[in-house]
Amino acid sequence: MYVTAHLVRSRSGDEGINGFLHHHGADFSWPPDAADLPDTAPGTIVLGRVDLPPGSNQVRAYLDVLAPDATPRAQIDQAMAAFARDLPERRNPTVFVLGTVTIRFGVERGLERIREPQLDMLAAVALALLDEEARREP
Amino acid sequence: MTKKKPTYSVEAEMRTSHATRAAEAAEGEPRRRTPPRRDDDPAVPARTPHATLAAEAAEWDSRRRTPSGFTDDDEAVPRAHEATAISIRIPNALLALLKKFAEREGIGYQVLIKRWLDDRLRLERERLRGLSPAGSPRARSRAPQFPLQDRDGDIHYQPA
Repeated sequence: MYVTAHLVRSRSGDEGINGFLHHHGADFSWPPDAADLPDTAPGTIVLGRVDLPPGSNQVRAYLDVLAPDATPRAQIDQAMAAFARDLPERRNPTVFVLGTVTIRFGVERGLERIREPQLDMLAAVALALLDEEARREP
Repeated sequence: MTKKKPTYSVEAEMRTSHATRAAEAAEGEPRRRTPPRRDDDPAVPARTPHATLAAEAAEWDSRRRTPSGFTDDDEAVPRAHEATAISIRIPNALLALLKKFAEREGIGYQVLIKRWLDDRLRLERERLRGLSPAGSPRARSRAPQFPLQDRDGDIHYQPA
């Protein structure tokens, strides 16, 4: 599972948050280091939320959460909470690993002083996609 | 010998706001103004002359002045007051290289040194804990660096 939310700015100056939820499938062998999965094997998109049509927008901040498809939601919440607590001690951008949950988070230089609210905002979108997926599942 | 007072001061002119001047024009007579600030008043910080500001702005515009020589201020460095200043002799060639790297990242070389020390300490700490041996895939993992652009596809953003 790979859920991403990123704050984007279009060339005309509009801003929005795009989010996507991917599944990797039961046959996928989850690697010990999942930090590169968004670039190498992002999985199949199962849900999306698009404020601005993707393509050549400036990405101002991103949050990627990676975990095996069957990971309990509580485990993801626990990783997110631990990451949020650890964020002030971390550089920007950063990769955080707790168990099988990997989190990548970064903001562009102009947003570094407001990293925490940016994380809250992107986490809300990413976790909302997981909630929506849970509602859809029978 | 006393200095001759200037008959025109750019600073004094700047203190007269556009609004005041507009009101004067409407009323036909000058309104009361607050007394001009005395430049020799120690309670009032001296203003940077316009010529100095203009020269500095021109240096930024022409990139003769860049942020590469800057260091973070206290607000930008968490718990900076807990830091200790140390003195270290660095070979000139090494210092020149560090400055080059720092310039490429748009930060001061001292900030770069601290960042790299922090990197190495984290790596060694993880290695000692057996979590992430140096050179392992995890140690090489990097979060995407800015600037980034989004893409229309499965891979949602990549370096611009």
